[in-house]
Amino acid sequence: MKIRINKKLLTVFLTFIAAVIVAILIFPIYVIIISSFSPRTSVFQPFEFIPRETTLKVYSDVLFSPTSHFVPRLVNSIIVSLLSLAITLILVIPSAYAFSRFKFAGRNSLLYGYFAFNQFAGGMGLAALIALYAILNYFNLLNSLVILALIYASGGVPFNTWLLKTYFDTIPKDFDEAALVDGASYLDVMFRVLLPIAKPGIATVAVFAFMGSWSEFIIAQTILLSDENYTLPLELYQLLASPATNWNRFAATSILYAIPIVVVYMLAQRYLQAGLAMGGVKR
Amino acid sequence: MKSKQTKKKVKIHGVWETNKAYLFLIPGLFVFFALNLYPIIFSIYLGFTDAYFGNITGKYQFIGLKNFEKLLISGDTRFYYILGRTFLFLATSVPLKVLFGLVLAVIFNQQMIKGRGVFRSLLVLPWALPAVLSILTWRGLFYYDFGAINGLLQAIGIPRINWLNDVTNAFITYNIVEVWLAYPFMMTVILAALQSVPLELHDSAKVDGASTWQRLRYITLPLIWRPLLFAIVLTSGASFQAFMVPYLLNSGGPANQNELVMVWGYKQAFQNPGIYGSMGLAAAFFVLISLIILAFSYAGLKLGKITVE
Amino acid sequence: MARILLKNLTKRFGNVIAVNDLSLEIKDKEFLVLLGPSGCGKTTVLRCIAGLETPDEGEIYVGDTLVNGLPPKERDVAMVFQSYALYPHMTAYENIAFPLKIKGLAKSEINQRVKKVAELLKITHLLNRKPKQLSGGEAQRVALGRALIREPKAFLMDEPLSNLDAKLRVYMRAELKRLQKDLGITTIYVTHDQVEAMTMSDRVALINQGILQQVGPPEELYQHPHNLFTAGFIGSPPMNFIDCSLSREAGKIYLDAGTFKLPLENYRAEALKERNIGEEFVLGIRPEDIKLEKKEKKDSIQGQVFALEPLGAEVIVDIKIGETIFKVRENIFFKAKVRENIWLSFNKNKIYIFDKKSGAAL
Repeated sequence: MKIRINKKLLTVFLTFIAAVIVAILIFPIYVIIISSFSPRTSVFQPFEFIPRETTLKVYSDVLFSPTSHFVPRLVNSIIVSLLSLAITLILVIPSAYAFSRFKFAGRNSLLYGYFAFNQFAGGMGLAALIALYAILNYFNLLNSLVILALIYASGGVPFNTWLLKTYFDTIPKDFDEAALVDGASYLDVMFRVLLPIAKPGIATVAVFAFMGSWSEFIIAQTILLSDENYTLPLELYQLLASPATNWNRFAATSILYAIPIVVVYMLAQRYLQAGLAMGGVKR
Repeated sequence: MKSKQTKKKVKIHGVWETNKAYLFLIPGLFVFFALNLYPIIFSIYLGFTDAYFGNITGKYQFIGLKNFEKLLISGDTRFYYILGRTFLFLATSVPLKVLFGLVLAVIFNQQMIKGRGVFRSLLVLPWALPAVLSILTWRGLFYYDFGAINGLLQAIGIPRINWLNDVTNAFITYNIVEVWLAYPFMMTVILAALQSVPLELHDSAKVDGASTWQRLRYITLPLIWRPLLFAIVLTSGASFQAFMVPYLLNSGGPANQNELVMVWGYKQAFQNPGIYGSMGLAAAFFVLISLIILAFSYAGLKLGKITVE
Repeated sequence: MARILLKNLTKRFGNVIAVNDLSLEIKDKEFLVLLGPSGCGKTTVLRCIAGLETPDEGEIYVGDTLVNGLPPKERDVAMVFQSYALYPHMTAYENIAFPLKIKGLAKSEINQRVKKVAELLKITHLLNRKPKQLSGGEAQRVALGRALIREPKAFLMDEPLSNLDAKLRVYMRAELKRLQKDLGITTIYVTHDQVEAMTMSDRVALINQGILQQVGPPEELYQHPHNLFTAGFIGSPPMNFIDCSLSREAGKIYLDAGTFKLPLENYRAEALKERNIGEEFVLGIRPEDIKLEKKEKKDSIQGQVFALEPLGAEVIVDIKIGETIFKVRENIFFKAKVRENIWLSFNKNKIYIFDKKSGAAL
């Protein structure tokens, strides 16, 4: 009997400790959420765990006030992210298809090269940025959202190609062969046979591409020069860097900035489920 | 593309040899080369020039090893200070990250805890959110006047701390934020490794008489040290290249005393518009730093191979 | 004294009662087999004894010590797992030495004892290999060695032979039994294979759905099963069963199976004397207790040959009586054609009667 009581107590105790730890770790997120509903800018003077006054005014300021840069920068972020997503798919899908279905000279080296680049090149990014700036400056291409999207897409080519290739590999080549025998060209095979079946894989690449662009800060800050072209990450940075520190405004902007991420994740989940259900692929 | 011309097509198990493949590859390859690979090479070249904002459009000149001399020998730059500061950061943040990940993995591996699934999805949040968002949020938390942390301290009677404008305190904030961002990765790796040890081995060791500590030492650790070491090397490489945390928190301050390598390089290149040769210097700096990064990556690759076998 | 005593052992997993009020005494130096179908709770019982599971009710004694609440390492029992649980990063030597190393014994003494055990099990040449370099049989002997070296009060074995191929299994059965007799250590052995139980055990404890069905020497379970389950589980091919009801005619008691009527004699008739007409029973008879005749004889039952299964030295004949199939053991010289009419004579002394509702033997 004594042992049984101990075990139950232990469970409760451990679960409590675990909950406390999680609460502490999630604290920043909690802070941001309550700050976004706070009517005063000095949210934590005094400190309240559960705020006594809440308001939606901050949100409406962020969205509708004439002094707020939120909406135009939101549009910029959307443009860049969608463009980057589109370019990524255009570049990556054929590349992945080629790696998965064809054998050609240099295939293995290039594949390994893409893989190695992923591992090594993180740090080189900033170095390359200097040269990139020089090149763009020379061609007068700085401050362009389109170029930014192109850079984002380009950076993702190795990783996304490799990812999609692995996914394509799981689709039996029987489908391809059946179509080819029926007279389809390779392009047909790629568009009409593989693409529909590979929806989950493509959704994954799309999510990575979109998310990466939506969250990127450094390159955006370096390449974009005029206020009206700034993307949301830059907006967040500026809000906090300005002397009139509007903490609650920053918080509301952050939440709004984070919403599309949640939405994209949920859409992707559902799309992935649907894709898996309708794919006529037998493993 | 629907032409039925005879191509050099040999079918080997469903994989076709054909030159068509190149056509599919070239767009991706070209863009990648133009915007990622070529700039890296060009950057290396820039390291040997006197480029800066004033002459970047074309009039810069080759100056040989002058930049490297300036960095390594002349003492004009704070090269060794910056490098030292960064290694100090490595020495503090990596053990912290490992410790945090280890403790969390062990705690959340206990079957006795109810709602583990929910906890684990919440715990992964720092990894899932955009870094910009998280880091700027933490910056706000650390504000002397308006920050939640100082507000909390005040509420319990502790005097406020100057987090971001004190050299040592700022360094501490870097560690705090980095650990917060990095623990999901460590925790996930260690958790997976812990769970790959078959339960029966633990049962057998228990019956054989091993205490919890002895089981950890003789059974668990020998079986998980490889993925653990691999994760540590990866984390070390990433920590060395930390940019967002120091830059966004307080721009490597106060007064540039906490600039880690990446921050110094970036500021040198892009925040010195009038200073002659600043970009070239920065490029040279990155060449040196890249050598160190390559060393990390090489170690990682070697370990990665051992882990797989 | 290294006997093991289980008193009213009960263990639940959520809503499932895995072990239900089980009481059992395993005698010192005895080889007892816990037998039962998959999921009957036998492994759970073993794990409770080892200390890997905590019982909800009941007491466990190892020797004279109450071990409830004691962690496994203080119970002085050794366990051999179905998958051997060899530590993959240690050599065979280190695996066997592990329990001693934990205790902190001197290297020289460990060396001595490992060598002795290795010789006993004939695995000395394998000591430097890692588990993945060992065959199934070799790995199993290393696992045995690791258990042996502790000289524990009892061995607990969880289906240690099920991962071996058939020939090796037969060999190891004899080896294990011989080893146990030589060393004289109390052993509890879990298996679902009744052949192992019959050949290796001093006594068998048959468990079904967490409830102890019968305990005793294997022959006793075979000859005198206490209930329907035991009768049907022990024996291969299994006992033949048929439902029937009681009837009386001309002062004699019969068991009416619909397709035939069997008169009862002696103590069997006595046992059913008090029962009512129409009460339901199950009639059981083992395949070797039926004789086949080509012509009708007194009290014989007619049936039809359904199938023949020759087994080398004998043949199993399937006879169809009504809707039921009876299996009969005959020697190999028995010849018959499918669908041929045939007569069965039951050995009157080997008829088993079970109450249909309770399953108890009469």
